[in-house]
Amino acid sequence: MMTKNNIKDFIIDFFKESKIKEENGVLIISEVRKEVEDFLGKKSPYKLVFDINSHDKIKDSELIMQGSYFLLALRGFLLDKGNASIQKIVITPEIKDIKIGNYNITGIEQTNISYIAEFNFLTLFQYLNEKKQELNKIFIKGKEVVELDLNNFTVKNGVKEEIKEVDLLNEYNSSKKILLGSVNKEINSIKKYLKTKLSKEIERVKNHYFKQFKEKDEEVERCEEKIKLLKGKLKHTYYERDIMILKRLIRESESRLENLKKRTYKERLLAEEQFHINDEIEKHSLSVKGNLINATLYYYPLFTLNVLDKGKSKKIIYDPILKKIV
Amino acid sequence: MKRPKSKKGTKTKAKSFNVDIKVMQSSTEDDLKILQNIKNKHFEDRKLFDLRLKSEEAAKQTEIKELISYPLIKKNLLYNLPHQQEGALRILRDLDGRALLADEVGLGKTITAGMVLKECIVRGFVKKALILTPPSLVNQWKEELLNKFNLDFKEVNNENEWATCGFAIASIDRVKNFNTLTNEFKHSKAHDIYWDIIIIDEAHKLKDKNTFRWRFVDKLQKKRLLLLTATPFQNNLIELYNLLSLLRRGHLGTISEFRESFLVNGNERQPLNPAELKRKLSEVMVRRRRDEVKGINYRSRIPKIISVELTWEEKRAYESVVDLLLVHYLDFNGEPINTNLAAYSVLPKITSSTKSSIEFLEGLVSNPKYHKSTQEIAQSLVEDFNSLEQDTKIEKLISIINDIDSNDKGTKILIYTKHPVTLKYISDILKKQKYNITEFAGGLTPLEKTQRINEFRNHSQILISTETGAEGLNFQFCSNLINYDLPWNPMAVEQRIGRLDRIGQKKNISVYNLATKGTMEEHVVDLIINKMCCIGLVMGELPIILFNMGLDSSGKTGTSKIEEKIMSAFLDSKNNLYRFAGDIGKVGNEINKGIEEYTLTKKYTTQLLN
Repeated sequence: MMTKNNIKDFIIDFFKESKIKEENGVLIISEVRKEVEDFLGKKSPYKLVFDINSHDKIKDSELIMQGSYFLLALRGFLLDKGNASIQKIVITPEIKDIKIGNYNITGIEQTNISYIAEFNFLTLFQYLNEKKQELNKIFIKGKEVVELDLNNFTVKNGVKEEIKEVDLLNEYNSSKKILLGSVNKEINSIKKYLKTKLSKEIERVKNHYFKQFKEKDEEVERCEEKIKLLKGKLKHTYYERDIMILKRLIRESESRLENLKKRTYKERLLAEEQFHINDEIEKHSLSVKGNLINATLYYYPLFTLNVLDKGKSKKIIYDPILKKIV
Repeated sequence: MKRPKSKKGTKTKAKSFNVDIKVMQSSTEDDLKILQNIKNKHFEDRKLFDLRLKSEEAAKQTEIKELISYPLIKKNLLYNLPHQQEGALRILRDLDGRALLADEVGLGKTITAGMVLKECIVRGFVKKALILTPPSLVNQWKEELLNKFNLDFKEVNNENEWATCGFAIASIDRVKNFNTLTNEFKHSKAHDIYWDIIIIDEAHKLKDKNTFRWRFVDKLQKKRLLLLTATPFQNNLIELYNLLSLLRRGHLGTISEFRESFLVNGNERQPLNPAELKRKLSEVMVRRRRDEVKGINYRSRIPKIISVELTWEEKRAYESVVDLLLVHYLDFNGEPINTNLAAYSVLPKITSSTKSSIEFLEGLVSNPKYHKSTQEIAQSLVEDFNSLEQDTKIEKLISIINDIDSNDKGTKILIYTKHPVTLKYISDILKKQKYNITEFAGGLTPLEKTQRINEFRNHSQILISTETGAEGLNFQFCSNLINYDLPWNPMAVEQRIGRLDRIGQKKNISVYNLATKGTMEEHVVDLIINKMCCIGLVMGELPIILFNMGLDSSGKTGTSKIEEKIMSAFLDSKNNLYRFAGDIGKVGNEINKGIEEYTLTKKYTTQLLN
């Protein structure tokens, strides 16, 4: 959850090219870019308030709170923005700071550049009337995950002319596998919750139909017993009129029994039961939508080190980020 | 599946079962586009992504504590009625979106349901929505959803339209049709769709599980279901059971268990354990009474029938034109034409005003398709009308307006007429009387409509309108309505009154009706005004009654069945007023029976649920 101030900072950042002033707790934003106005479907100025009471008092104001529609709209505007970026890690190591085995480093020079990819995945979990989201950031080089703390480096916007064409498909595939491991934990946790709820609902449906079948079976039994009873009576009846009545009652009961035993009835109930179970399963389904929302390519220099190894001079390539020989 | 046979009286429980959760995952197509951007060196500023990340955090929705969509619709709602938001929240938060919304009439069930719908859409829960309503309410729903919730629902008439509809609305009477030859529903394609939400208005018609209507709804696959009705059962508790079976199968047990637990000796009218039944209902139902909701004052409608006594010349002209319609008008091209068609298209014109009668007659004279004898009669009638020295109806109108104005100086008056010609005629006459007039007919742009409404609200005293112009508009700042002429469809009259009888109306509403004495109009006005629209029903109850009686759907002529009944009485009477009065009396009795049944239903519902 973001605090009110954090949300306000975000809005100020979003509208930094517009005119912003604050009056009595109302953020008034004017001279907004047409592209943004068109997307939001509303002309500026926007009067943004941060509590429901002000919203009721100030005409045409927009209520801003976690998840409010205005914030959803701003997110919508940014949805396809900034999804591919390039950053340059500026690093110039000094010989005294490099420690590689027992090598004696005698010289250093920049030779080539190398890359680390950063993938940011946003995963949305939607179920019943709830939504959750998880953001995963993965730094990867080749197939290896890299623990990278960018605070330790100077990072600035990269220049695309300084790099060659880079295909990150392999890195992406590897990071997807890592992502799935993390997402599955959340999926399993939600599944557990849904399973408990769904079990109750299915139990209700199943019990209902179970009882319906039971009632039906009991009705059949009653009908069979009645026929048995009537047939028994018939054996001991001699009056023509009573015989006729009993025969009619037997015929009626047999016909009723036949109807009760009709397969269609049971089939219909079974189909109904399955329909309602499926309905509950659909209702308790979990939708997981995971998307890459940004890939950033970090490039940095590799260095050739002149080293003395057991008295012999040789050159090795050094990766200053991974701090190892390539 | 083999099921165990059990002995009578033995407690049996279903066996345990495995539950699997269905997980749906998205594709990676969009991801690959981003990789392609990297490859093609199409980079953007990283700060944009940082901003995007913050936006994700700010827009993140947590559990439903409030309606995030409310600020969006608030501006379109005239009044903030907290019970509507509370109801919507309860349905979403506590009832998982499956509920019986049984608020009493007049509390705005449509708005509450619309709030649920809008919230689900804004939160991304709903992509496929279906609304089923009585035939006469389809347009009203569409209009409200568009104007208040900015949701565009497409009406489904044809069975092939289902596949292309994300947000669909349909008349339940239309879609429930069952083809006995193919043994399937005509609109069975609706059953192939998995709906995220379904809303059913006036759901009490789903009381009988042996009907096609019930079976159609039961077969719909849905995640959320809202049943809307103020009267979930009439005087039979089994109806309530059937309704709840649609929401949650088995919620009230099997029918035998229900009878045993909740009916006195199986009597379907007497609840055995009302407290327990209420508790069970509260798990799936939201119901509020009018007297517990603040912010709504209900106003009375005061009917005023103003008898217009025509002069001898006027009466003769009127009778001649009706006679022409019923006898000679049928000589179209020498061949008789459909009587119904003639009556439906012409009768409203000739009963509206002398001006609209003349316009109709001149149309006959100038149209060579008509039979010569028809044209000759029409020409002579035009002359009769033009030679009239007096217009008693318009004089009466002026007198009514003067009376209203002298009792309450400057008070607003809304005059309705069916015809633009009459509208212009009245407007010209009243302007001469120095009244400030605004005209409101069809064909105005939305901007012009707003301008005219503001003009009426702020400057002019009288608005003269046709139905087509003022659908869905609110004039609750006006409490005087004059029906210069009256549509023969009570629903249309109800719509007229409904423009004034809304939340926010501060006075009782006077409904003036001009009825020409000694004509059939007098009887129709009595039926529609005195026996239907102004009998103390709350706004919205008359459509329910007509729906219950099956009179709100379209008949063979395309108009509503109730209007057809009145028109048939007119055609059958052959201009015999005595016979017409008798037939209209029968319609009145039928309506009265429907109202009595409805009142009884309300009483039973109140007894059990309140």
